[in-house]
Amino acid sequence: MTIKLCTDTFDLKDPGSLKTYLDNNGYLAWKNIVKEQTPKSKIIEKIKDSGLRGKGGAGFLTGLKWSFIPLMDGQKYLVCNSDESEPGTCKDRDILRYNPHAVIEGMLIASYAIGASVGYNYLRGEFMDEQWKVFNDALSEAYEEKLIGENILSSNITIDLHALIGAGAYIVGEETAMLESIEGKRGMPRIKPPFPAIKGLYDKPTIINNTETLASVPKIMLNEPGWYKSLGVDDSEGMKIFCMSGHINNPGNFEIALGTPFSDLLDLAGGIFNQKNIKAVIPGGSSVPVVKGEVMMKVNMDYDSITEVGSMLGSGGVIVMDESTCMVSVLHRISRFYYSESCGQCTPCREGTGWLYKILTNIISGNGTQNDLHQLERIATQIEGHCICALGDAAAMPVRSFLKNFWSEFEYYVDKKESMVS
Amino acid sequence: MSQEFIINEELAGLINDVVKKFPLDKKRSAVIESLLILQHHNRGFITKNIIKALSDYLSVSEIDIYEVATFYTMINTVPVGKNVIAVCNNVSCMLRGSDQILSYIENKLKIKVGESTSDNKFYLKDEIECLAACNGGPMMQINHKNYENLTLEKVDQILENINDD
Amino acid sequence: MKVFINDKEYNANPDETIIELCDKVGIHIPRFCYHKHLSVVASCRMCLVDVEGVKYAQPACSTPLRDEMRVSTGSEKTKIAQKNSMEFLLINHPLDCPICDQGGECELQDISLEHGDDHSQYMQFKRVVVDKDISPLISTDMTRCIHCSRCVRFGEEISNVKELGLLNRGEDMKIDVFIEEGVSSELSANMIDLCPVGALNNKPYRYKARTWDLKQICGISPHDCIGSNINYHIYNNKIVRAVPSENSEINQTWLSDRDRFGYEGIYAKDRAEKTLIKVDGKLVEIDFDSMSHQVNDLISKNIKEYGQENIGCLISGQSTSEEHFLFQKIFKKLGITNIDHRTKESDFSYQDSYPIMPSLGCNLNDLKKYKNIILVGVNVKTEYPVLSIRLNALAKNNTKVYSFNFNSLEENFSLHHKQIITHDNIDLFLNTSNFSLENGETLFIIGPSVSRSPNQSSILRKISEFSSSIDANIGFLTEFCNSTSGWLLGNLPHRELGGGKPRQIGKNSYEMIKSHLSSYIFYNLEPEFDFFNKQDLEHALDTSKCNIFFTSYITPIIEKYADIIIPITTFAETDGGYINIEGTYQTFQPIVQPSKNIHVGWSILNDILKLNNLGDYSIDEIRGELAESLDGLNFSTPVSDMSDINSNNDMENVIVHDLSRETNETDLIVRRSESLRQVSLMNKKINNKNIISQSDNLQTNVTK
Ligand SMILES: Cc1cc2nc3c(=O)[nH]c(=O)nc-3n(C[C@H](O)[C@H](O)[C@H](O)COP(=O)(O)O)c2cc1C
Ligand code: SF4
Ligand code: FES
Repeated sequence: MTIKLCTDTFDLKDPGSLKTYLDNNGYLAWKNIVKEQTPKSKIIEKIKDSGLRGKGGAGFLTGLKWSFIPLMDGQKYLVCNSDESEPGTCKDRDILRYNPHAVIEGMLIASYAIGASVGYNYLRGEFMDEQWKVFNDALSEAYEEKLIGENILSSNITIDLHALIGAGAYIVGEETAMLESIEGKRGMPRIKPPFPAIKGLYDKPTIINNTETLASVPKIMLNEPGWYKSLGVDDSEGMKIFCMSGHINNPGNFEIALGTPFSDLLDLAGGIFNQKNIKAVIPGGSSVPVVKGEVMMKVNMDYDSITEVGSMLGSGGVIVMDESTCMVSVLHRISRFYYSESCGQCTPCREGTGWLYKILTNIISGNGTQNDLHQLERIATQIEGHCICALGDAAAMPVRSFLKNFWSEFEYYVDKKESMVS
Repeated sequence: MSQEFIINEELAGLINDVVKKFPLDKKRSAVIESLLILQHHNRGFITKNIIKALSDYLSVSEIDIYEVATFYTMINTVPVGKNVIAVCNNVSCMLRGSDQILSYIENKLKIKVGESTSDNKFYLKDEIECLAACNGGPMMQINHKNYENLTLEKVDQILENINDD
Repeated sequence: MKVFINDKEYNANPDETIIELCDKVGIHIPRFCYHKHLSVVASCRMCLVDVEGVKYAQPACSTPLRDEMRVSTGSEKTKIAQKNSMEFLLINHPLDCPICDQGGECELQDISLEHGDDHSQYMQFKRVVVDKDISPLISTDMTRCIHCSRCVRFGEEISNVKELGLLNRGEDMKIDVFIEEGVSSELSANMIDLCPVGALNNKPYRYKARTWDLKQICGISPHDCIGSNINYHIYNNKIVRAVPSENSEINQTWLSDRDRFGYEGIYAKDRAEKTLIKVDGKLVEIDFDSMSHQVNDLISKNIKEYGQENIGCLISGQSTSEEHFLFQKIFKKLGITNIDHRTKESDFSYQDSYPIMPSLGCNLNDLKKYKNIILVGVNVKTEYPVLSIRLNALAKNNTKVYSFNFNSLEENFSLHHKQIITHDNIDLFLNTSNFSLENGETLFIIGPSVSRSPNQSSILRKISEFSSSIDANIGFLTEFCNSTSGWLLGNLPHRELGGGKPRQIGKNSYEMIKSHLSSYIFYNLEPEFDFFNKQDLEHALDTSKCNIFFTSYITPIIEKYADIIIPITTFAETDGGYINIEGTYQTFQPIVQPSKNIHVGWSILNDILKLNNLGDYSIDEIRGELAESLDGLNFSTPVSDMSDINSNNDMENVIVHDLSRETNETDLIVRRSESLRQVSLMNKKINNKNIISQSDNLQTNVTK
């Protein structure tokens, strides 16, 4: 039987309803905790032992992150990051609409474990029509059932959860930018340290986790220790949703055990369009380095294996490109995105992303030179590692990897003023 | 001369619900959602007088609100057409033909991205951000509602069904 | 903590950043966004330095030092990183240094010469930002902006009036105002100093001179009793600009707009530039050198004809300490007892219980020891803008500030409690059942609106009673920059220099005017504005026989009533000094030379002294005596008990005037500054709602 963690309600009738969730052992973990008043440290220990890694992009160990929260009393906050906007990533949107209660239960357990009495789920503005409504309805249902709020299930536990909505800004997905945005400001990332666990929302200790990360928590708590760990491979424990998009027959979200071969994942997604050959894959959202298709076919979907081939597992947004793809156009499109989404505070990112994009636009319109290609590389190197947040790196990594893997295609474009593939 | 913008009882009710989510002394946190509420009420864009009214209402300075209004792309600081069309043309959608969809719409409505039709019915947003529906590409949002796996025929149908309220 | 910078060992404090230590020990690190008085944003990336063991160069402004850390500020890695940041910054920065007012003092220009390549490899279009007219004081050239956000943080953190904001994002980011002509706070021009490039510039100074041609002389602000230090920039014997002179005890690195642009008043059209005497109802010019004789003769004649008791001597609290010293010396020695500098007051019953000199009761830097600061009769934001920076910092920290005032309670720092009072009800509110005080020391600060109140004595008594009941200290803020000297040096009817009791008590300023004396001698006063009541003064002048005006300006009233006009120097044209409200005596030298017919104030006074064989002083001798009289005075102790003040003022018969003091109208020089007048006009326009909401649209075009 295939195991599903965050996606197990997806194919059921009324997937987002409380009833469906309860019928699937929903809120059992939370009720147990409330009943037994499980010590916080025990929960954190269990999440630590499970090896759960953050699903938002950086893959940081969730239990370890929770353990950074100061023990002393005082206001603390939990923030769920549902800003999902890394191109190629579309998993949280399905969790939010098809399994919202798992997110709520995960947020409750996390809030309890870190001692937060308030939790916010920040949804990107574009989720306004569907996910926002579904999630808010789910919150109301849970409030009615006394699963959230004052004196939860007649205990002395009080946790309030609220949904917040953004208004269009990729950068707000960066955790400290999100805190600024919740405070009603421009979404500009903060300098770290101090880390949010010490000084976060309204300067209070705050933990920020991705939607998928939090939605994984209830099942981990419900099962016996070691269960989650046993699903994946070393250092890539458990499961991950991969968002398959691009030139494939059956695009969609697939929740699989970490360590599964890429080729199996590709099969799940129906293989490449029209039996064409695979040319390249971006395995973790558009910011991670591109990998050549033939290399990717030999890789397993876990953190270490993907790192070994020079890329990153990131957010799990897998973009598949077949042989007809013009890599220059793809890079141009990616660069346009980071250029337009830079918040503007750090000089290298503000000015550098624009420079990259303008050079690529020049190349696309047939005015590029060989020197431009070297410039691209040089600028990308200048941005990398020199900004407050990782958006600068996100803009630089694709440029460098596209050039490295497909240099001749770029050269061809510059020389012939047209794409190699068209 | 323009009219002062009044936050009426109904709007105040909606904004108060937002304010309630935050600690008492953190009313500023309500700015973004309030702007969305007021923008919706004002047929899609924010004006100076709206910012002034919200500034009074939340006790947040006008410039602070203005900063926020110009940072987030879903908040329009210029008048736009009533129905906002946003065709995602980031990588995943591009690989599945979003560029054709976009130029088809541009031709059909006789506008370029970033413009509104002369009858003010449609505004074609320059949607650079990925709309997180990569497995449904090509896709677009009209007034935030998703339309996925688009074809040219589907686009015709969808646009025809948008009413002129 | 031991750290190594460029292989040299230093001792670092915990939490100290790389840039802080380097600044302290004199190792230069380039920076744009970092400023020691602003929060650290680490966004310009100009300060990147090589830290051993770290892959990428790190921002020195936000990287705390760690034990055994090794930093290299000159290594290849540092140089490349800084050069790269520079290159990025120059992408969108115009290369218009030859026409830029910042030329020669531009941090970007300096750093690019030092660290950058001489040109960028960038060949695309440069960003162009449309400029707006945001203020009469600040010109903008926003295409030059490098987005360091210093100006925005200044508004958020220092002045607490956010006028400029960061709009849009990414490459389209720009600094802008919400409404045009919107920058009007009392401290706005500090943003000019903070701006490291030529984006925000001094508008009145525009194109007046190039920096390298300027001479710089330090002066002291004549516009309020804080005593800010100002560097005046001179071109061809003319002040063309003023900037703050850093003084960590007083104004730190800030200046109020009034201090910065007030000097324009010395170039006013009605400047008195001729020595004039009235002959047959007409003012005629007389010889410069004979002036002292003419005045002296007139004074002697008046004494002879009307008697000392029928002569009144009034001097401005804005005059220098040296002038104050000589003024009282002359007239007291000549036996005149009607002498005063408190021309705006009308109730003097308090005067015997008053301290020897008004003072704040502590140094500005020590204000932080107070947990409660209670303001009475003062609007710090408009009257003492530089002080509001301190109070803002304190209010954000641990001090609670309270305000009781007759009119404006709007401050740019947060008030814990505020209350509008009238002239006879302060006791109703000064009551701990109305507001709670924090545990800890409390300071009352009594402002000029109290001195101007027709019920001043009673208010002082009530404050004093309440203050002793809670064991608080009392401090003052005065009407003029040097009212302190007026008190201390004895320009008073009831005290001698240093506070001694005179044999005979004369009339105070109010009584002098009300009792219609035969002769008046005015020193540096503007009849139209510097008195409690202009009508009363005019009546007195109508009936008096001889009026002597030592003045820098010829106003209509002076022109009408003067029998002799002695044109005197302003603060900018003389040696002088002021005692600020902390009790610090700060002296200065002439900033420019006066035009040839203007008399140096202290020197003409000294001439009169000499003519009467009463003494002869050099400036140094005056200062010596002055310093002596200050010696041994301690301004940090609570003032004497004022609860014995008897006030039998009958409020019902008193006309109460508006006591508010407009920022740009506090003294005769400021009132004549054209730029500041423009600011006042703009503020009136902004407050008139109808005008600004003409267009409701926020932005006129979409970018991208
Ligand atoms: C530019 C940028 C954008 C990001 N966007 C997202 C996002 O949309 N969703 C998300 O969960 N994390 C995003 N992240 C990662 C977050 O900063 C953060 O690491 C994550 O939310 C932590 O949750 P996790 O530990 O559960 O993964 C982004 C990071 C950067 C630098
Ligand atoms: S205007 Fe000047 S001070 Fe303000 S952000 Fe731009 S460069 Fe910095
Ligand atoms: S001075 Fe350090 S980043 Fe600007």
